[in-house]
Amino acid sequence: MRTPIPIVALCLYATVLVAQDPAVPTRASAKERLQALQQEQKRLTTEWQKAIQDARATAEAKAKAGETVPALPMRPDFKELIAQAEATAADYAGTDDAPQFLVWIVQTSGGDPAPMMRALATLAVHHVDHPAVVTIGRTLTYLPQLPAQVRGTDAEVEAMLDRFSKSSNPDVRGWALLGRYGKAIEDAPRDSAAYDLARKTLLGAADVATQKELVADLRGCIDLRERFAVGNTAPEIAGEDLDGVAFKLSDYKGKVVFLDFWGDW
Amino acid sequence: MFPHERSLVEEMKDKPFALVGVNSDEKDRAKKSIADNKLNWRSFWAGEKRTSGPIPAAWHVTGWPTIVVLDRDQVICYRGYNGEEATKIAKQLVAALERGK
Repeated sequence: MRTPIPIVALCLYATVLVAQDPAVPTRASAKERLQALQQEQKRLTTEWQKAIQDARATAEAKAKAGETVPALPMRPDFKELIAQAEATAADYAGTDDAPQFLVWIVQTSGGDPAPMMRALATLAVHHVDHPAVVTIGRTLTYLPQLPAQVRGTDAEVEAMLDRFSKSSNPDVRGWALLGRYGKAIEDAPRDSAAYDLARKTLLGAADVATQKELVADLRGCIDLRERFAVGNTAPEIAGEDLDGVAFKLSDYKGKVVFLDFWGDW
Repeated sequence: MFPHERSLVEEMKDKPFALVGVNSDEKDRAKKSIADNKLNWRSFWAGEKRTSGPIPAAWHVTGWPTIVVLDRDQVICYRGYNGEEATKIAKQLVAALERGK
């Protein structure tokens, strides 16, 4: 009697073979690879923190002995880890598994902005609708302030921000528009078309954004320009001093006031 | 920072001028700082939310320290991070007041 079992077994075996093929990354392994990345990041951070503590302990003794104190690294060295993350993102290029690695790169690349810019470029072209992108929303507002040799030309930054501003996520749109139009709110003449467009765009974005700090920033940059410009009358401050005694800014009318927002931290 | 403010307050003490702070430290830390550094001006306390407290939030202060100079009618004459510039403008305003403008 002929049995179908060997054929079934062969099919099962083939399925198992494909699932284990290292050239075909599976969805489960993307999660594991991200976790491994984050764990290694944590390990490097702990190592760096300990090195800083050790260096501080010896620095005092060295200074007293008149020896020079070596400079301490300002942050852990994630260069290799970032290179790994870029390679992993490339493995998942074009799929929904890439963004989490690209977002991780944006969040982690402190010292060298080049990997961050590459990751943002990829996210802008392929992944603007992915839910992970909103976590790096605020980064989009810093882009115009980066030096040109880091972030590219004004036109390139605008093109990138325009792509993000078409995301299906209203908060990603809001952050991108704040990055795109924030400078016009600061600098454009109040009666210019550029100012009007920026104002209308940002207020529109504020109406649909869901993140509180984003809404505050969208409305706040306009408020800052319009209500706190030189020539405007300052709003009242009614508060308490450090002994809990109430007083007001208007108590000082008749005098020139040097209002100093300060802290010792 | 503190030596500049301290000497400005001293220099202007008989003039129509007031240095008013908005402090964003923890209260105890602020009071210690004032005692240790002999700070001689009154400050609003920004509150428990510190740099995100209601006064800095209402004034959209994101960089610290920020200085705003107001004239006698509390019209804004300077807002920014340049203490020297702020001081210059404040002194010009005080001089104009004293000249009776």
